[in-house]
Amino acid sequence: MDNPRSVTQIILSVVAVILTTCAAFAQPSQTFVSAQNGVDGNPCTLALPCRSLASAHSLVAAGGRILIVDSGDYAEITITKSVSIEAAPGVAAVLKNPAISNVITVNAGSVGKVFLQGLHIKGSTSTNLRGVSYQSAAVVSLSNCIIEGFSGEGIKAQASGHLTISQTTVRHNSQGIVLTPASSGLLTATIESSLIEKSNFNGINASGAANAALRLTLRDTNLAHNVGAGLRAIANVTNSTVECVVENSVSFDNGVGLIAERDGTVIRVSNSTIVGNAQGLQISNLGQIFSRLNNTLEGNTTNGTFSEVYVAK
Amino acid sequence: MLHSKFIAQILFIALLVVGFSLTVSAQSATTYLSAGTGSDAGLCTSASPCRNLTYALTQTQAGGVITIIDSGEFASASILKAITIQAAPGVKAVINTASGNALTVAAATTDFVILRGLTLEGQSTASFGIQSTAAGGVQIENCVVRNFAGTGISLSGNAGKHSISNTTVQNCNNGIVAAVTTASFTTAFALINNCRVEKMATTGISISANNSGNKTLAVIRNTVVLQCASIGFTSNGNSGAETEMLLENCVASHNGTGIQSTSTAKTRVSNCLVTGNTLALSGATGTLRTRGNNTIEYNTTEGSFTGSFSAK
Repeated sequence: MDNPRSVTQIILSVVAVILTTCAAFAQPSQTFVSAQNGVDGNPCTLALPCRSLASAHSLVAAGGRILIVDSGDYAEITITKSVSIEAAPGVAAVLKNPAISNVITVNAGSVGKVFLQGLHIKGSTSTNLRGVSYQSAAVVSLSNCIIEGFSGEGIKAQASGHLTISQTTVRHNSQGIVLTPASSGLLTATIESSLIEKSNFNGINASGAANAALRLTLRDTNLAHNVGAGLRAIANVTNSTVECVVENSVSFDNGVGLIAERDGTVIRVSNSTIVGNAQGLQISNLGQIFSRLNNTLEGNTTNGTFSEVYVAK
Repeated sequence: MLHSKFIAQILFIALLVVGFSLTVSAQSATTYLSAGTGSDAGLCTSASPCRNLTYALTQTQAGGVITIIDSGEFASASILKAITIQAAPGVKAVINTASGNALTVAAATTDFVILRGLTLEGQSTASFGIQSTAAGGVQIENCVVRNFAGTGISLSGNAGKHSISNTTVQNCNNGIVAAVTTASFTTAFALINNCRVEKMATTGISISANNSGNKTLAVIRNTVVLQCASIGFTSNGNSGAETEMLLENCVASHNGTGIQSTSTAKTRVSNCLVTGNTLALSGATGTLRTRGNNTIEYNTTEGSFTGSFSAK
């Protein structure tokens, strides 16, 4: 009689220990951060939020969400897994550059999916750093973000994968958005309903890599007041292609509206307005800019000309 | 022992004083305002926000960001440096004034001023919603400007690089004015996107330049101007100055004149709708050009384009 009971007790204790351990290590799919009353060391619940994105990132399960619940300053973060970081509607989450690193670094491996929503990513001009540095991930998607004031790039993607940017303002950076596929890789980028302005160099710089392809879709987007080009596409190394489609967009008051440099570079332009630039179109070294014959190319100091036309279907 | 303790105490006090002075003089890159809980003291952190823009401006670094974190009324302010003033999304931050300007911008020509998510109320007696007489550029987003006896948004003075988007201007004398008025041989650039301008006593959107050698270029896109008693869109070059205004996918409806272009202006119109105006089009010879893809219907008098340009 004694013996079975003690066995049962032992089993119960073991089960209890395992359950407790699991509870301690179960990662929540939803975590909360607060500038106004968050404390790192808290469990990052709504009642007991964390202070930093980094703490929430270390607690949250892969594929989970970090929700910013009130307005204030937040520090930099390196993202190493699938996660979404979202400011609640009504919250101004200002992610500040600490002058020592990029504000958001994405290093989420080849399958990571990273979603950033409603973030105000603010740079300092003192260092050569980035707002968002996309180093590895399958997908990085930004919506409703503001990225401004970086002495490096607002957004730099140097990876294979897909970058989506929508309803986002990128301004006052050294370069706005810089896209380069990984060597022998494929990077696709979709930028829509966004404003990219006042870069000290190019608004968007889309450059090639050896044996790699870059495909950029730009839609409903305004490129304005950039000192360099609104969009510069350059397949600058062996066996690289850079293919861009520009639809219903504006390039205004840039050094050059659109640049296609070098063999392997094609920009297709439809339903778009290129006006008020020092030079509208610039083509060099076998780069090509095609028109669907439905664009306004007027009022640039030098308009330039399209290489060829392509037909509506 | 006593001696060394005394020295230690003095050092400690000295450190405290130094620390305190540093704290007092430090400006932050980001500051916060609250109508509900703010008071004008300290550093304007999100946990301990300030109350007024004028005080927050003294606590914020040039190039910094002032964020209004809850809904309420705020007093008018003058902006003399590069700054962002924004309401958190979902917050109704009303800068309410019965006289003067709601926001005045008089900064250096290298300074950029960003205004986002603000509501400016002039009670039908105040002068301007936003009056910028000097800045490198003013960017206005998601704002509402209403009931000013003068101009809703006036960007004038030297050359600037301006962007106005997702903004509504209602019931003022003039809606949006972009002009180069002072220095010679300078150019201003204005991008106006997704705006609505309605019920002006005089003009909806005016692009102009004064003085020979000056120039103002504007692209106006996805923008509606309606019910302006005098003119919807106008482009004026005065005294030999040039203006270029390009309208893409815009609407001018129920105005006195829909689109006007005067002698030294170049106005290009593409993919626009001009309807319900007393006079649709008014252009000096060669100045008002169509891409041939516009709808001009149901105006009392149509008028005509005075030139054309081709799609490319």
